[in-house]
Amino acid sequence: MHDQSPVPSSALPVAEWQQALDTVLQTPLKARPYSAQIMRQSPTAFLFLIDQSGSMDERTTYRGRVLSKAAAVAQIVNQTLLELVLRCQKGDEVRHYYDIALIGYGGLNDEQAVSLWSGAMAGKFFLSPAELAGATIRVDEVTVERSIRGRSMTVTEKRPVWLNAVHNYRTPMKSAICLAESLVREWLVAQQGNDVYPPTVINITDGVATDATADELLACCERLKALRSMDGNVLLMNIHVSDERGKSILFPARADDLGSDQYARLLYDMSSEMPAPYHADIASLFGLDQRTSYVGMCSNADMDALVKFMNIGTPTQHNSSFIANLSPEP
Amino acid sequence: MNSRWQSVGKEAPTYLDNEDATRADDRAGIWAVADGAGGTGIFVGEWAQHLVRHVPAHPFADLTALSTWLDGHWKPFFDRYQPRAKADPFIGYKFMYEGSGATLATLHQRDTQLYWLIYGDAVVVCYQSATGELQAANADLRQFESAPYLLNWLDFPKAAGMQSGVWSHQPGQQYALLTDTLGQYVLMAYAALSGDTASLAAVAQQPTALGQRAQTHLTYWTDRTGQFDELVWNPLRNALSSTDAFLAYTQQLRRQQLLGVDDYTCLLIDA
Repeated sequence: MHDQSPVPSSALPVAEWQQALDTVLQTPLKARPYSAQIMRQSPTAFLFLIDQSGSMDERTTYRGRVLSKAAAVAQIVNQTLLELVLRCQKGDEVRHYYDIALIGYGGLNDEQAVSLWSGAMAGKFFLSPAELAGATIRVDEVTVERSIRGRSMTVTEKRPVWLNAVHNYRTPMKSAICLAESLVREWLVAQQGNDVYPPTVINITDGVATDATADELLACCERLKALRSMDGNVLLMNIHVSDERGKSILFPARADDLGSDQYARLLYDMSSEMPAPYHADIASLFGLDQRTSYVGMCSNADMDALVKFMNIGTPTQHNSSFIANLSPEP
Repeated sequence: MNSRWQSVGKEAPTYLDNEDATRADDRAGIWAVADGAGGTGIFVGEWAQHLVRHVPAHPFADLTALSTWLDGHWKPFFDRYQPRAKADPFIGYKFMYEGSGATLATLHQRDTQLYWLIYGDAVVVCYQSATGELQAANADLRQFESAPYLLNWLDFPKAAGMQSGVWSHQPGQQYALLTDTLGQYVLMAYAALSGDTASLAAVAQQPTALGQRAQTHLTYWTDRTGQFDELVWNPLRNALSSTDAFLAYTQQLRRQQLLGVDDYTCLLIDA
């Protein structure tokens, strides 16, 4: 295990810090939340919580290959992190549009979630996109076919890797949620009450928390989801990766959609309802009917669904709502 | 015809970081604005500059003409920027997967005819101050609800992204080419002040920043119907006197929440 400093606390004395947080949380919500534009002056944050427990060793299929769930999740998270850097790349500059945390639970021990950044960034929780670009574990090279104006050409691409496939120990999910809550509190205070797009937390797991009861886990999630900027509450999205049994359920509207599966119902209760600006993208990307409510969870998701889910939660080219917020600069 | 134009970037403190590009050739009767699309792609400001610099002397007849023109001009840009892109894995990946995209609006004068072309959501308008009538090449406010079509060296242009037409010049008629967000402001204000509020009201229903802006326009211009010339067009004209005036003008509109965050360009042409 690498050295892990505690969650960085603000330079403010405790009383002033608490007052600053109270001020943020008491600022009235905007009439149209989730519309803040994401710029250097008003960044947002992404926190990825990755289950690295022993059961992530089970097999799944991704892009036609049989591999462990941990390996598939690592590939998908690495692609998402690459997308985050790309959205910030302007010419030769990587702009500070977000802060990004990568938290693992299991993997290194039974009890404690940890930041997964390594090398020079070990011990840090949030990285700027420029720091993320420099924090790769390695860069893989792959040969791919690309089409330029209808003409196919073979190019060698470099694919950065930040997350290795790891599957060890139990599933201290509560520790990860609590760490996310702590990080988001610090982050909100640092934004000094500015109109910022609220942080998005994406939890990827294949199992049940081993460090808390359902009620304890829900209480943690409620505290996390209650945090907010004036632009809206923190979004907590939960993904249950598939064991290739059971029906896949994506963005359900009601708990009843989940049948009697207690674990799926717990994930449902843990998750945020997705804001209205996301609805059209969710319906379009997943081929779902237009509804008035989508809860940000999926149960028994296969890897393709996981990719799409990540596209909804982060500013990829597939998420036009997020891209519109990110691009005051179209 | 004579033109004047200004362009400012979106972000404090300098507003110099600007991915819009402008060309004003009054003698040849060629005017163009391009808006480098920052949401995707790389070297987009450079691509916007490249596009306006190479706008041909004659109007684009149709999509084939636009595509043929792009065929002749994409490769030098690619050859110039690919080595720079290859030096960095992130830039290289983005360059090859997303290319460089920009919207483009052009206006060509041929005798008394003004030929306009738009690819994407830039705005071209023709305004007659004597009557207060504004004709927009692309007046539909709903165009701003979705991502714009972009001219990209990576792909061929699409028919759905292109609009073109022609106006006959009349005495007193003025023309403006605006990048999307400033064009959006002019179109929203005109819709509100001319009493044509149906499309503005429809956009105002959207749970987005654009919807909020449409609602602000509906409210802000209440009881000022018929004052577009005085309240919108002339202040825009006057703001083109200097970069400082244009920056102050756009910042004032921002404070009033009538204008979204973006790079802003306005190229105004009159006789």
